[in-house]
Amino acid sequence: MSMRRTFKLKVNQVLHRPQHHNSAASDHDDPLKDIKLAGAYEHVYQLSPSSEVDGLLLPGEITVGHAKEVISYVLHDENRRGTSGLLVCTNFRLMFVTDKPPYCNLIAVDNKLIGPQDVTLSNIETIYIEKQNGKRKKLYPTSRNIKDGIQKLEIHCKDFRILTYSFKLSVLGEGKNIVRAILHHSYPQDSSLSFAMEYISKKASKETSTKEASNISSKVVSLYRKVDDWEKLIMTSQAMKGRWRITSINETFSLSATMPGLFVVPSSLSDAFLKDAIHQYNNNRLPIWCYTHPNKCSLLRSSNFREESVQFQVDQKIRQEITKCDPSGRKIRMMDLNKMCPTLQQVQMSFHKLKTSCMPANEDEYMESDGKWYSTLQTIKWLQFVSCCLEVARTCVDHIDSGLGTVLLIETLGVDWTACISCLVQVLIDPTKRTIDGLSELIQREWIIGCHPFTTRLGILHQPKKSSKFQPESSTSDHPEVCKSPIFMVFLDCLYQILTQESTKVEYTSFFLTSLADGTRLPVFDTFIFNNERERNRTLQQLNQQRTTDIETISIWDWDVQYPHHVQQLFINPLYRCKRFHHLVATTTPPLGGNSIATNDDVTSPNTLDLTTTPKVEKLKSSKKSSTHHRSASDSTCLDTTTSSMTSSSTPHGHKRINSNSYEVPYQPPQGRSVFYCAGDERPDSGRSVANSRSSSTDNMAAEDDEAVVIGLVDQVNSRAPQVAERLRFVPNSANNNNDVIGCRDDDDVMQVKTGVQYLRFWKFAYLRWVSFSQLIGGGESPQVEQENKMADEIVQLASKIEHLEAQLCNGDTSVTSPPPRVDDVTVQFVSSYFPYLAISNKSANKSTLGRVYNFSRKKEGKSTTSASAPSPKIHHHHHHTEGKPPHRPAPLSPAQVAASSHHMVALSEQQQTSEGGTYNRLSSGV
Amino acid sequence: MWAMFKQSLDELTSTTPKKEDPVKAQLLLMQLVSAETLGTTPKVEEAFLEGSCISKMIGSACLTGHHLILYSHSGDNAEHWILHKNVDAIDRRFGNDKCQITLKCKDFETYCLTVLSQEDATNIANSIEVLSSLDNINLQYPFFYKATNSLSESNLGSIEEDFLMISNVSDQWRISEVNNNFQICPTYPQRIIVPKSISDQMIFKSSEFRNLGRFPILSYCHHNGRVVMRCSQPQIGTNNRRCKEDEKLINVVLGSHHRGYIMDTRTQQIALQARSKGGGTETEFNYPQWKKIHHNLSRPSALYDSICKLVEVSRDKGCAVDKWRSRLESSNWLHHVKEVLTASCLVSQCLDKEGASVLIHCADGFDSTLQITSLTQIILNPECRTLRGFLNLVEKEWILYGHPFRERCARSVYSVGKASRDEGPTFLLFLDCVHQLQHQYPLSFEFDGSLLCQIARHTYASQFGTFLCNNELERFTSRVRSKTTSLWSHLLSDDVFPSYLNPVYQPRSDTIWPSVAPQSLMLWGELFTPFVDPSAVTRRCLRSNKLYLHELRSTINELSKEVSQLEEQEEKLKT
Repeated sequence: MSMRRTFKLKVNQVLHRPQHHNSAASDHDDPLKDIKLAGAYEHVYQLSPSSEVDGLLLPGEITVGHAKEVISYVLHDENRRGTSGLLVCTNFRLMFVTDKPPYCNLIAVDNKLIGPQDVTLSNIETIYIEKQNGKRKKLYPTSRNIKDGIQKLEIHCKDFRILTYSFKLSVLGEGKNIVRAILHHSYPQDSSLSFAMEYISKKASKETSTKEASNISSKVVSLYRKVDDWEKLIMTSQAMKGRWRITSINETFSLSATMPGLFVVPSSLSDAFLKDAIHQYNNNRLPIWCYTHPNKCSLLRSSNFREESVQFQVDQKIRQEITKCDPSGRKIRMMDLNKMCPTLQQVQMSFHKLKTSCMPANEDEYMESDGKWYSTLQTIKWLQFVSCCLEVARTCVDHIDSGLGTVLLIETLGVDWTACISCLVQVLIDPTKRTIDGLSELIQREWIIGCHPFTTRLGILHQPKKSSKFQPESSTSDHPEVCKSPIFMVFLDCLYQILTQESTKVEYTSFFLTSLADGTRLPVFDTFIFNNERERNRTLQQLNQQRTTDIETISIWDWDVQYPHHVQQLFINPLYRCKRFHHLVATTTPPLGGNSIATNDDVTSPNTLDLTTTPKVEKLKSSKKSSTHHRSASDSTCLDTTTSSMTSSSTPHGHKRINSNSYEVPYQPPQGRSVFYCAGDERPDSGRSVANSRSSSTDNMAAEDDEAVVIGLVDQVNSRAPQVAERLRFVPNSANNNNDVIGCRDDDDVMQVKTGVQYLRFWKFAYLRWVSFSQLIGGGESPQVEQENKMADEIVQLASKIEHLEAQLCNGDTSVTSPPPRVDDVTVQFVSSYFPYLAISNKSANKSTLGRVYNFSRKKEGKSTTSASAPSPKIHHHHHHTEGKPPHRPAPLSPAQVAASSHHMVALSEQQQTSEGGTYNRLSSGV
Repeated sequence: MWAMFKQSLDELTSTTPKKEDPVKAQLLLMQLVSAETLGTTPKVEEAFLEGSCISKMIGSACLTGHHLILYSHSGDNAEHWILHKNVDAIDRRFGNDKCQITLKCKDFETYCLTVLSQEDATNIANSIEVLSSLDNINLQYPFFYKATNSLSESNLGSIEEDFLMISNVSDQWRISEVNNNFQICPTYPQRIIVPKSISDQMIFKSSEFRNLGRFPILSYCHHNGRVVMRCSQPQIGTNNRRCKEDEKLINVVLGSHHRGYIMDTRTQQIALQARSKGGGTETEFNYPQWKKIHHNLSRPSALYDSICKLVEVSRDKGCAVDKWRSRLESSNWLHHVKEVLTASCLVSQCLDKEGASVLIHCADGFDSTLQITSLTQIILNPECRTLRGFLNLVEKEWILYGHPFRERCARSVYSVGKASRDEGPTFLLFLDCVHQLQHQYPLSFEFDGSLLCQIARHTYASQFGTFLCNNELERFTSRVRSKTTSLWSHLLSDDVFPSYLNPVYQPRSDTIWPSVAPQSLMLWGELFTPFVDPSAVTRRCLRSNKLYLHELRSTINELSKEVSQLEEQEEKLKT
């Protein structure tokens, strides 16, 4: 008993609290009391919204409502701790303004558009309010009678986040007002009302003069709205020459609303014929070209031929002409995706279930899934659908790659699965599509220009007729044209699976994919807010009519708008970066050495009880070392010649070439990246011509090496001694491409993706990133990627240093420019498994409590916060922070505003801290 | 004929290995085996070997005393060796034109050997069957194996080193010789660390009170001076025995002001039931300074059932798409992982946050107890996350303190017939938990996942003597330590350990708190589904990057030297 007493006293000291407060449970219902007791009442936020917030707003953004002294709760915090601040609703987002991120050691990654505590209105899925009497109510877009006395506001976001605000401290009525504002602005009914329109028109007028050369990077991604982009695409391919042409029959979208303005068809089909034929297809979508393999098999997509149509000969004729585009006249394979892929409704249902299981309201709910998680995952079926898509894509890839003939993807509307599958096929088959720029262009071409109805599928617009729309579980609107269905998410998940299986072969990262997913909910870009190109054109025309100059839209690919340069670097997979780099060297060194880098750990790799572990590694290493050194000098000279001849040779499609030295190539994101695919566009034969054209200037041997450099940049194919690699690795029955075995050799263009459900990973980074319970500080994939990045940086740096030194040696010239400075890396103190999304709460970083993980201790923690030895972090910390370091609100709060404002962190403990500090009691009962 | 064979084997074991050198013994064994069982088939010229992790091999199969060896005919001199000891079950499928023998191994791999003659096939299968179930320890392969590469002096589990570490934190301990010649506890090492103020006599009394003589003994001393101790259940029995010395022994660890926890890894009910068999659990009345926690962890036999199901699922490539995950779940393996991790976190929390000492025991004190003590150390002590530290931990907790490897790992998932109570993958579960930690904190471990896999394989069949025998007494009598090579010295040798290093290792000094949510736990792909695990590719790439970095650095050094030489020459020319 005496022990308990002392324990309680210590807690009291820590909390600066008179002792009598501890005993009565009811005292703590009033949050004000806590604040007073904490002695920090004076610091409560007193920001005047009109003046202070303006500086934070984007062009075109208007404040439509606000509430002061709102408490924003820490996500999933058992102790209901939170920060008080100003909650502002604008026509773009819901913004929480305070001068300090609550309980955070690390802020989320810089986003120039929204702060870590903001949420865009288009991200809001459902809104719940809680009245004083504790009644929870869901609000619908049509809800009208919102009354005073709202205690709590809970917002469920489309990205699976849950935000909770309390109006306990605010003036009566403010809560109601802001909820009304949110409700009113969150569900637009017309895309012309989208914030993007406001933003781009205002931004254009503001920034006409300040256009700089800084955004060159964005121009790399072709948008495929101009003929040039398409020409570039089909002219560069030898396999397509003369057989396919670009048609502009739908340039004004008069023929078909859901077809792109420009598209590619067999050259033998006349415009007149197409104009007639287009109406024979569902949704007015003709078969259009997507991709042609060097073996001249192509990939096309279309909608179903109209069932009621009698003009079968039209369809036949088109197919004939497509067949003729293949000189070998192989038969077309029709893939009916309606039968092979899940229906839109199934996907929507599944996604809804996924959402429910990934948005636990509290920890108990989360832990309840314990033991059921895998079967839940199975009943959700999401991964089965992902597997299904990959499987279909793989079938297509096998067909095309083995030269069996052209594949035509068919689907009722021709805008959903066709886009998904055609993209996946191209990613799997074509290495150039695995770079960030390549992938971006692909998505732009197949999804955006291909007229995937983003507005409808993502449910961006509210369709007023059916209020049931907002209950996805009862989405009875079975008609595919109005059906909400996250096909794009399935696609991104497929890309994620490819990434996990072949992490060295793709340039993008998981962060890039989630950024894309988030981009669909960021109505600043014109990329994801329209159903089709016609809609986009009309909306923009309307907008332009009111103005003298045409306004310029912003595409999501213009990442500079959203992220600073250093954040964009997180898009690039460091393993891929290094791999490219190795290859550069590996191909310029003798085969044995080149292979030893990649495979020498295989020698000692876990074989079953290998008794004959000989020091092969050493041998290989030493041979490599010497070879690199001896060859390096001559290599550097021939690299120089490559460079000069490359820059002088004409570049047929206007891409940037290797401009300085080859070593620099991989680490110049995003400009440098273009090199890969521009070189990739030309297949080995054209690469050879470059090499041959100046082989007179250097000796033959060097010329060959040069060629290897050029090609090696693109295809790892040219590894000269695949046999060595093969022997050192477990290569299973190489005859069959069974998906169960490690069938992919490094030097294989086509990815062998494994599609079995067993091999698919749950994409935690996208779906669970807001679930703080499973956050690991210093753990998870993110810190590893950080490390890999550092390693890659160092490799790049060292390599360029070598280059520099070699140049000095060869020329005897010390005036060669010094190696470029190291790329600025993101300095991060703590990286968690959900970096850069979920900020680390002080709670976890201090390691004072671990309640989030272990049931056992959580019960205890509710009582005493911590044991006597560790002081309570709550209020203490807060005091400490408000004085010391300069406050840093991550997003756009200016220092002046920060200084003007102050904030307060409220420690609200709904779980009473009363019961006799019985750690021991609880321990036994908790188990 | 079998009887004859057995008899001659017995003769062999009783005479040869003690006096003659291993090579001769092996020759003898081979002669005997080939004479009696192989008949005319020590070698088959034409055989095919297929396996889930190897490429198809065509060549000649050869049977030796300990291995089935397949030499490839394809000119690349490939060989594949399968240790007989590794074979868990044999399936025979004899057709008219070819005969297939499926070897199901203890490391979950399966191999399929195809030969043409039925006679050969029968002979081979019979021989392997006999040779794989040789019980006699002196005939085990480790006694014949001679390491070809240079080994490092491992010196793991040294008590002096341990004692030195502890003395830095607390001066309350001493090294005792009370267990010399394994007098009081056969499953403890001969020299042990005990509290200074406790006499050997008291320890003797305490060991009489505890099951199998496993009295409370120090496992880990945290930097705040709190300790983890382990023991077996007290033999309270039906007449409520108590032992003052035992109480004193553990109370003295607490000091005057502290309290501690006793974690019993059985449910309260089971623990109380154990009294009828002479066991039991500490009563609060007799141990007032200690708080009891019951955290139910499964017995080895339950784990055995679980892993059988798990392997069945994970190796079933034809499993229906919509069934796989629920089958995985119903194997319950990840549930066991979760429970063990949770218990270990609990203990770590008591130690690190509460500042309380913990005493852990199950019934015998060498199964789940060891899982928890060792995982706690990995969570709390950064030293245990280094390669050497980890091996030291395994040696110290599992080998020296008597985890019965011989019994637990006698058979694996494929063997037919019900497992006895003594069999179960306790140690494998521990390794899986380490794998989970490693997966959650990829930077914090100096070694990588392949080390864990390798250790897991060696527990079932190995050329090294590390995992032979049940306890130190058995090892002592069979002279395992002097006659066999240690796995640790192999793993730590200069040409082996670099391949197990984690290329992104970043030492961190603090604790790593794992997440035990089901969403955070992963199936151990590298062990259970190695044919699909992508982590190997990533690791290979990372490692090659690391190598490449080294190379670059050395190239830079050489080049800068050259440059400076050139500059010097220029200087000279100018002057």
